[in-house]
Amino acid sequence: MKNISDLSLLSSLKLIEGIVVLSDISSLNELLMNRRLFYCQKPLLLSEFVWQLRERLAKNPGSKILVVDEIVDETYDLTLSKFTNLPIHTNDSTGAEKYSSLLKLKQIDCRNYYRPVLDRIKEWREKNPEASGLEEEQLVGKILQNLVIKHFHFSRMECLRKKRPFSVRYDWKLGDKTITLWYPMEMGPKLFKEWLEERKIESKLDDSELKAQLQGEIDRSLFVERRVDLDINIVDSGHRTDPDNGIDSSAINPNLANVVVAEKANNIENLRPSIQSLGKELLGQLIYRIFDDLANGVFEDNKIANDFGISKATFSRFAGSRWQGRLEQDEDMAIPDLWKNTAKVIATDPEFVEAASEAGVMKSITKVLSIAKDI
Amino acid sequence: MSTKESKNLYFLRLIHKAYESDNRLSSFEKAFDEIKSKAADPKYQVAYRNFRRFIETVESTLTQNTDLMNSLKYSRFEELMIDILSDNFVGSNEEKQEILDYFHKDPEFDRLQKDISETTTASEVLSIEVIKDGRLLGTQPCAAVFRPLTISNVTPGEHIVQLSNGRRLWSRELGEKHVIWKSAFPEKEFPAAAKTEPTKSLTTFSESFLNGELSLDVFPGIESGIIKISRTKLNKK
Repeated sequence: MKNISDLSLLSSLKLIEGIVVLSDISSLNELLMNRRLFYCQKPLLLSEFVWQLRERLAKNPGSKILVVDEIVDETYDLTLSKFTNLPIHTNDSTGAEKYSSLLKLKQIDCRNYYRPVLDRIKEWREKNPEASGLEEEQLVGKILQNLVIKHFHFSRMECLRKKRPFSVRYDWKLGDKTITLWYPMEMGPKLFKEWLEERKIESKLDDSELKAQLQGEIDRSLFVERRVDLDINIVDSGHRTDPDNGIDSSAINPNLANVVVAEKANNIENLRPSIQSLGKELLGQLIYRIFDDLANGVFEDNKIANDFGISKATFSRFAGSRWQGRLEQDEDMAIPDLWKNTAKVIATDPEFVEAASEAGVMKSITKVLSIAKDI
Repeated sequence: MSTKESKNLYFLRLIHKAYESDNRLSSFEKAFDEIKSKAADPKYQVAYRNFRRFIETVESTLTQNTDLMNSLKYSRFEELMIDILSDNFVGSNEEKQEILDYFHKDPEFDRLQKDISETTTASEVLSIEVIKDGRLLGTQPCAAVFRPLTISNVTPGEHIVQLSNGRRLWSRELGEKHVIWKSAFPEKEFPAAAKTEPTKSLTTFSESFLNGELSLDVFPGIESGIIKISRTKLNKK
C-alpha cells in the first residue's frame, strides 16, 4: 500500500493497474478524489463528469419517458457504482466472507470496468513502443472517458428495462421514419395497436419528442399502472396492499408471477375448459400460490390441486412438476401450460437470454447476440 | 426441506430469484452455473430434463415470434450502437455497418449520436501547471510541439509541477539560495546578459522528471527568480 504522496506521483495507468491487479483501495481513492481525467469544458473528476452526464440526460426530451428524477438518478448511481465498488481482500476469513456476502448483494466490481483501459493501453503500447508518458497519460483519460460514457448509457438502458420488464418492441411507421416503442408483453400487438391508434398525436413535435411523449404515456398508463384486473385476496397470495392508498405494491414493480398472471387472465378464453371454469380471480390465486410454493420449496402437485378443487390430471397439464415422458407426445403437450407461458414471458428478457446464451444452454439464439462481443 | 416436486422445478425458483436481483445478468449467469453443476446429480435428473425442456420452449418462442426476436435484436444492437458512438466497438467494419444501417431511420440514433459525440469529443490536451501555495503560477499545453514554460517572479516557498489531470510530477521547497542571486552566488556579480534575458543567468537547481521527458531549471534573479520547464526528449518512453 502506497502513501498519499507516492500515489499522487503515479501515472493514471499505474493507479488503474493498482485497482485491477492489486485491488488497491488507495489507488482507487487517488483516482476518484484527485485525478481530473475527464473533460467537459474543464478537467473533471469522475463523479463530476458523471454528474454532467446526468444533467444532460435530465434535459433530454427522452427523459420525459418516466419520472425524470427516478431514471436519471438511478442511472447516475448505477454508473458511479460501476467505477467505485471495489471488493476488499482481507486475511480475516470471517471478514472476507462477510464482505463477500455484501458484494453478492451489490454484485458490481469496478475492476471489470477499469480492466479494458489496461487492455487498450497494452494494445496501443505494442503499436507505439516509443510513445511518451504524456501521450499515455492523455490516452488513458480519453479511453476512460469513453468507457464511462458507454456505461452511463448502458446504465440508463438497464434502469429502463427494470421499469419496463417483460416488454416487447413495436415499430410504428411514421412517414419514412420508424418510431420504436415498448409495450407490456401480456398486452399483445393487436391490443397495443388499438390503444396506440386512440392516442392524440401532436404533429408539431419532432420524432424524438413524439417518441418521448408516446413512450411516456405508455409507461404511465401501461407499465406503472400494470396490474391484473382481478379482485384477488392478495394477503393470502403474499402480495400486499398498501393500506394508505389501496394500491397493490406488487403491481408497481411486477415480478415474473404478476406478468404470468396477467397474461393468463387476459387470455383465459384460450385455456383448457377445466381451468377456464375457475374464473379470472381463482386462476390468479392459483398461479400466485404455485409461484409462492415454488419459492418456499413446498410445491406439491396434489396438494395444490386439492386446495383448488381441480383434478390431478388437470393440474398436471396446467402446472405439473413431472414433464418426462411427455416429450414423445404432442409437441404442444410437452410442457405444462403455465410453464410454457412462463417461458414465453421470460423470453422477452434480454438479460436472461444473454446469460443463457453465454452459459451455452441456448445455442440457437447465440448467433443473434454473438455479433461483435464488446470488451 | 424442499418437496420432491419443488426439486423438479427448482430451476424456476432460481430464475425467479435472479430476476428480482439488482444485477440480473450476473444473477442469471450464477443461476445457470448452479443448474449446470447439478446436471449430473441423479437427484436432479428430472429437474435438469425439465430445465432443458423449458429452455427449448424459450428458444422456440423466440424463433417463432418475430416481434420477440426483433425486440431482442434491437436491445443487443442498441448496446452495440453505444459502443460504436463511444469508440468502444471491437467488431469488424461489416458488423459496424450492419448496426449503423439497422438504426438508419431511428430518431433514437440521432439523439444518441448527438449526445455521445458532444461528450466524447470534449477531451482537451493535457497541460502542465506550476502551483505555489495553491495558486496557479503558469500553465502550458502538452502539445506535440511543446514550448518551454517560463515562470517569472518566483519567490521562496513550496512549488508543485503537475498535470492538469491532477498527477503530481515534481514538488520542492525553493529557498532564497535558489531564487535570489545574492544568496545563491554572494561572491559573483549578476551577469549583464541576464538583465535582459534572465535564463542566461546561472542555474541554482536542475532536475528532470517524468522518466526524463521533462526538465526543470531554476534561475536566480536580483529580487526573484525564474522557473523554466522544457521537454528534454520527444516521443521516447
